[in-house]
Amino acid sequence: MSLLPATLAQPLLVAIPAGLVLGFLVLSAYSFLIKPLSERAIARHTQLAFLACGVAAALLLIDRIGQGAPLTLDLNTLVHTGHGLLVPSFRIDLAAASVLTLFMTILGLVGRYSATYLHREPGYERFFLLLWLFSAGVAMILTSARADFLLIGWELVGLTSVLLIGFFREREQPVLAGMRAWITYRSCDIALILAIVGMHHEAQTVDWSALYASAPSWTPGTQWAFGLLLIIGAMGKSAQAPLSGWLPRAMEGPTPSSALFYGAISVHLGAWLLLMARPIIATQPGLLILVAIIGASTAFSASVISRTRPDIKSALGWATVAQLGVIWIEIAAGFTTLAVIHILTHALLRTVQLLRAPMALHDIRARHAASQGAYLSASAWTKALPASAQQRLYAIATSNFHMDALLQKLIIAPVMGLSRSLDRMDQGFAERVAGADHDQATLANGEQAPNHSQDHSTTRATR
Amino acid sequence: MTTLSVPWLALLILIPALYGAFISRQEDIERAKLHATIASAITILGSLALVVFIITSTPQTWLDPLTWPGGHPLLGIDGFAAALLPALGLMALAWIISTPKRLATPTDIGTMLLMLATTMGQLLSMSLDTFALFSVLWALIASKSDTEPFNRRLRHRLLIPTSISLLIAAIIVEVSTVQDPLAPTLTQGWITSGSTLEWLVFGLIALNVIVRLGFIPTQWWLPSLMSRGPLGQIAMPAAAMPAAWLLYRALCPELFIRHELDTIAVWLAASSALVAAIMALSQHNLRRLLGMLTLVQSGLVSVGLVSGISQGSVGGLMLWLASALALTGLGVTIQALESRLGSCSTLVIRGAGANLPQHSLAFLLFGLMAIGMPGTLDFIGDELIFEGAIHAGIGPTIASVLAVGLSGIAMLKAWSEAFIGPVSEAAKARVCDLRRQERLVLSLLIVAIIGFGVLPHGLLAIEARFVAPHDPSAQQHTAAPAQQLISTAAPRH
Repeated sequence: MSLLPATLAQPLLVAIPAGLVLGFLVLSAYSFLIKPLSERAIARHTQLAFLACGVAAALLLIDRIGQGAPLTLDLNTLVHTGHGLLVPSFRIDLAAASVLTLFMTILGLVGRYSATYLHREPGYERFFLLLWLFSAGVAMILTSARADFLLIGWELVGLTSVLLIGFFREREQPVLAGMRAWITYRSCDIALILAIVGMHHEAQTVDWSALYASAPSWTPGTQWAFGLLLIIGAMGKSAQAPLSGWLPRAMEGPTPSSALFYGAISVHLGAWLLLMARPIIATQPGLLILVAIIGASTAFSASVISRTRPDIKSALGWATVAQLGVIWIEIAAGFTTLAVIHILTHALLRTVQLLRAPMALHDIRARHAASQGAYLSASAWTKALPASAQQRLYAIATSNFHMDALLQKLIIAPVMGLSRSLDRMDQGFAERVAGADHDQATLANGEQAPNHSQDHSTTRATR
Repeated sequence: MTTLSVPWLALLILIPALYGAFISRQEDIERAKLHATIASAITILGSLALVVFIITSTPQTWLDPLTWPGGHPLLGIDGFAAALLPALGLMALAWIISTPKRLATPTDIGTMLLMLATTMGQLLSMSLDTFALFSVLWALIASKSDTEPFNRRLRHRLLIPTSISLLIAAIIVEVSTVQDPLAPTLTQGWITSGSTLEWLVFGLIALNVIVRLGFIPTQWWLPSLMSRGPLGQIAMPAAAMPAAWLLYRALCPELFIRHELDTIAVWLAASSALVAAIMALSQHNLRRLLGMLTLVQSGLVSVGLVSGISQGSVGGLMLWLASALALTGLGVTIQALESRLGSCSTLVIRGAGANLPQHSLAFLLFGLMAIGMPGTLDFIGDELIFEGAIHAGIGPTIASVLAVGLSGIAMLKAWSEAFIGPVSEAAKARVCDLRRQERLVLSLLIVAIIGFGVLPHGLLAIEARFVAPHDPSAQQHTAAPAQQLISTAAPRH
């Protein structure tokens, strides 16, 4: 017997993502077309919205306690694309309700923290608007009953993450870090989209429950293919090796966004996708072993790297990656409830740690004083290694286990090289057909594109 | 199929054409823009009235009462074309209103209207000769109005001959027994005997489609053309993709019967989109980037159209409509940016968002819409196209998804290079942000794209008039007979 009647619980389920999307659209339209919102107005609206969403999520959580079957709502009759794709379809069970409640609570707390932390910061309004969009994406992912609907939230979370990494626009590094994250996300999204399209083709549906039922009947090759694509799709957001490099860089964003995205919420969504996809992945034991290997290698490498980082946010970033690796191992081993509990506790811990990060020096001094001048020593297992091995490990760790260099060398550089070659070839063709143009060389490398509009008007005037 | 009592379609084309000719003779740019705005607004309203009429009427195809001397139809409309016409009007309106007065002449504004008229003419053609005529007119007007010597040479040596080749195909159809590929009376594929003349006509039409949609190996002309010259006059017809209409109406019925040719077509379209997306990654010139993104979209639209299942066709239509609007918004923003900072190279205008935040937001929004971010019609279109592509094979699907993914990377890379980061000297110039009229047209475009994206019922209702009488889920995984596929994709026959 559920606590809430279905007539109340189902609207609540839709109201959380829909309300957040609507709120974002209304506030953005007001700001763009009428006048920018004041700090107080946007902060209050945000806090109020997150409070309401938190209460709604808590009600859903209470409603789901003791309920075996998830609460579902299919809006196929209300909104449909006519071809069985992108049907808004919602589903929530105890695990999803727990995670949603916690994430909404963290969003509300960090929203309150940010109102003070970012006071008078240029981009204050932008930060909060992106927070709305991000929270809508998170709510969609957690309440989605279908893989394609999950993709909508997935993309929104990815985009807002990237825009918040590059929040401090006047500096070079945040912009580059944002691009790095975007490239990783987008590359992994390609795999996720392929998996969704392929599964829809194979099973005629992308409803998770129907996919779980259908997956065992697929051929081993299909199971391997879709399983691999789903794993790759989850790897990007979870920053699993060898795609971990973007996460510590992402700490270039403001501290509240680091706490939300790379401590509490965003990074755990990869693990959430893996949890959702686990019944499909589990059709091939080899895939579960692969997940465990990825998780173990991530946990090991990130743990070692974390110990070599001199700045607190970067160290916390790598420590987060290490814990995510452990969560992946738990999922692979079938401890899904443990993985959900790990997600919840880890999210809370990292939020606190990252929000305290600006005061790290103060904290260390306090600990230093409390320990009467004794510095904390290296861990026992590090000491157990011979000195030469320690040095070698340190060298490898400082270069992030060469993960970034390998990705740059094997993927990014060849693709960009191909792009430039094709572009040069294209311009060569155009020159051969239309004759050489004095602008051509400059246009080719983009060093200085002439103002064609002005040239054009001058030509007109002359004529 | 019924004939209209009044030549509404001819009037719909004549209004912008006459206004265009009239405006080109004026000297006052302000008056020219005002008249052009009125003309495009009338076109939008007329198109919307037609959409309502098509939705509420029983026949799926309506013919204009005006005919060629031989009696064969000149113009006609169905749900598919009806869905595109208001978007075309909106695109022209956006370019006309947003073109800075100091950078344009009345001739430029008039040309825009003539482009609108000839593009609409191509979409409403019910015979190959009508299409070819409008196509040649389009190529000649574009060439005459383009003042850049490089562009004129490119048009004279490539685009005009290509359009003339279509005219030759139309003449062959007129003087021989080859059936008109665009005739609304056809009940099946138009290559009946497999004669050399029929295949020659097929080849000429295919050549036209390949060149004008920028399929490999001819993808180089559009970015080169867009790099210089008046942006609106090049970007608007490119984003409208009238050649995709030719592909869908004239080639698809034959491609669906001949599966080996269809496979080649899907591969060609998907690889063209992928190549353009790869090239877009290294672009620093926003005009060239716009050209590349246009190529990606035309490749993806074509994948959907030639995929052979209704999901693909509907996705193609959706993406066609949405990308035309999104690319227009992106083009308008690039033009506004260039007119203020004097360059559209990301290496020159670095950090432009510091002084031009609305430009930055508009570029980001339209860029995201053009690459199919969730909540937009592009996103739904992309998903349906992938469904169509997977029906054709795993290779084209991977190429299509890669094209979408890479174009997303290219777009955000260009945005971050141009608008954020340390502010360059050029971007420090004190210039105004988006003007009120620019904000207005961009808002209209956003509302149209998001409106259709969140609630695509309206578009599906229009499209249903054309592609409806079948059950897509029943056909999706079955090797449908060729005739059934034709009736799915082109029930006008």
